[in-house]
Amino acid sequence: MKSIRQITIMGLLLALTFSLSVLESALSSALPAGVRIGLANIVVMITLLTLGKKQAFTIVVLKSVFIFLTKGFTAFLMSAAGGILSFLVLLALIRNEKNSLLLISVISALVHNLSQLVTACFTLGNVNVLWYAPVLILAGTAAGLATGTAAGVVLPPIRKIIGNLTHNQP
Amino acid sequence: MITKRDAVIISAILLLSIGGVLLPRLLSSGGSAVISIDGKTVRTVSLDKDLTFDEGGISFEVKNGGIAVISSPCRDKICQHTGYISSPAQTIVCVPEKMTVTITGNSDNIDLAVG
Repeated sequence: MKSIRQITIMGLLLALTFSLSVLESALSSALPAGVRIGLANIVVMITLLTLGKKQAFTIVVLKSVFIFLTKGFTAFLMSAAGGILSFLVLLALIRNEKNSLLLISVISALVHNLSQLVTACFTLGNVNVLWYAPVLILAGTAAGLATGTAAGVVLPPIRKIIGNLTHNQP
Repeated sequence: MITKRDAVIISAILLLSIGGVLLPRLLSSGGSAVISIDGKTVRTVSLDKDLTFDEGGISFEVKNGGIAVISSPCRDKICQHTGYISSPAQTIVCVPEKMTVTITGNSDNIDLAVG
């Protein structure tokens, strides 16, 4: 369903993702090591719920590419591993209508953080980093709650805007 | 916004993770630090004596039974921000330098500390 409108919307969503990524980099110096807020996940979830799986996955992939271009290979591996795994979990959770957005957000944030931890084990050549897991789970839960709430607040207006735009195609 | 079942699940996760964070603080502190670069142990130091040394371009300091990274050539300095660690459940990590610092055993159990 490619249309100029959808391409434009994707462009805007991507620009939003990149800006959030830059914001998060700036904020990360104020946070303990490795704690991520996952602001980009807000965009991924919203895209998934309004545009669809392929579009949401595109955002995940291109965000990782952006990270590669701005922060280097190690950061890219972390972003890709975390992003792809948490996206798969996102897809699985979204199928069950009983799962609230907050729960989905928290779990995908946790999966993201933990995949990054495992990636770090491979990069470092030892498993000593795993001691950090409880801290990451705590931080990931808090982050998931924050991003889930944000997504919930922004979703209805965005649904209206995107709904109108994609239905008014020539 | 959130179902009762989901609220319970999330609260459970929170409680477990808080417990997981507090637990290491309660473990007794160990007696020596192991520094590993690129998967290989490069140095083991006893935490009993205050000491400053370099390994692989990174500066370490042992003080008051703990060890910390003083300076590192990495870009983000996350290792430096970690501060002092003293218990076996804590680690300092520098991903770009492929370096980790871990604590093992108690001074009583160590026959010989190299470095």
